[in-house]
Amino acid sequence: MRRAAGNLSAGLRLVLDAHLESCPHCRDRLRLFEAAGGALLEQLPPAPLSGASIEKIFARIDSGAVAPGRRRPAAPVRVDGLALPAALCGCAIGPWRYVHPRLRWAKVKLPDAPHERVILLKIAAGFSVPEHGHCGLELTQVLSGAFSDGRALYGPGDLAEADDEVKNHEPRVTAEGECLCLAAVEHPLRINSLIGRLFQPLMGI
Amino acid sequence: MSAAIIDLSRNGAVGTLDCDEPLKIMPALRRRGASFGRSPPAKAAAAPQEGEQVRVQTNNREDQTPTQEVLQDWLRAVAESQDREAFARLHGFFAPRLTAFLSRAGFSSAQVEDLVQETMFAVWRKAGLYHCELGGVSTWVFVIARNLRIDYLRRKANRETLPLENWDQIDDSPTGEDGVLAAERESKVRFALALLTPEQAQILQQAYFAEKPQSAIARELGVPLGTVKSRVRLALARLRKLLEEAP
Repeated sequence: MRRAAGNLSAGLRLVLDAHLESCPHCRDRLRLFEAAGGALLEQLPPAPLSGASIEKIFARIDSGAVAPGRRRPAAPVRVDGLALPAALCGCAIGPWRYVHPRLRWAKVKLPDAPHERVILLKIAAGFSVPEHGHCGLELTQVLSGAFSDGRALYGPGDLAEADDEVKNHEPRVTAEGECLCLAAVEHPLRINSLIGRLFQPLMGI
Repeated sequence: MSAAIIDLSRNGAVGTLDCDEPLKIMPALRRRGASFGRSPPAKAAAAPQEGEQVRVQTNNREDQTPTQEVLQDWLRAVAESQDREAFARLHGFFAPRLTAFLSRAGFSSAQVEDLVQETMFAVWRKAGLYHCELGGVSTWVFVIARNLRIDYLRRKANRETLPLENWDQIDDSPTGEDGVLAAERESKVRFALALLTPEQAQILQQAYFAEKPQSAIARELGVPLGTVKSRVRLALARLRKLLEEAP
């Protein structure tokens, strides 16, 4: 709904768009909420315009402004031979950094919003991410591998959500193999353990 | 995807609960189907669709909603023959509503004017790209305005002065391909919205059209934050349920 209304931050939107590519159910839902937006727009009480509005548009049409070209589609971003969702096209992926021998992350820099907290996470099989809580919304899209957070098991294409109601959150990657995720948070995480907190500045989220 | 994405309670997505403004949603819904200036095409005269329970034939008045078919007809005239009269009708209907939408989103009146103009200019230029399979005309216009708004805020955040011409870089397709369902979706949504209580409809409207932290709303209303959160949640849960159950 916030995606439909356009009220999500750029980072969260990116992760959600990545998810929408692989989830027809959520695409359907988004379309439904967009349709609700259209219906609500029809029902808004009309507000007065400043007078010359339509003349300005006609003047612009008459001035013969040509249609600008579409943005060229960028090549898909690849990580370890895996093509990332098209939503990440145009994003710069930073170098992999270790926070722990079994946990690496790389910053995802959005061309339009370089300060958004978006990262790729590569976590070894069986590893548990330090226990943490959230301020605001966190979205995690699984690109490969799988993890479980005690509430559900998330595999490739699944989107995990956590927010301030999730207090002690300790996602664990399944034993089968490494897990690659795309994650975005609205606000920095609250990491509960001292060790985790020491690592936090390294991760930028 | 679980509830939180469509749940607005996380932060900042809900607008002012503007109590002294009477709710106009319900009457507007009841009036749906009113003809607007020009006669609707033959298609529009067919039996009412699901969700359009009451069809009242009234005279041309600015605050009434033309049917989807009439809107599509106007848009087609713009696309096929650059019909300025049809565009003026679209403008007459959408521009005041877009102005209301963007004013609620906290833009200054100059910014609102700019964005309304950009949106309507995009409607003129992109008219040929609209397919009724994608959804209703209003949905299409809503998506264009939403994307322009996102783009505008993005530029502001980056202190960029991207020429406004670049709006064309935004993808306006209302996300999706299976178009046969679009008409059904549009009527389902209207049916569901008509069943909400006035208070729920108002909360929902504000959730879409304004950005204000829920804490601010709570302060204005003098109610605890939790109350605002749960009201929003209830309204959304009700809408979801109605959408799922709608015929």
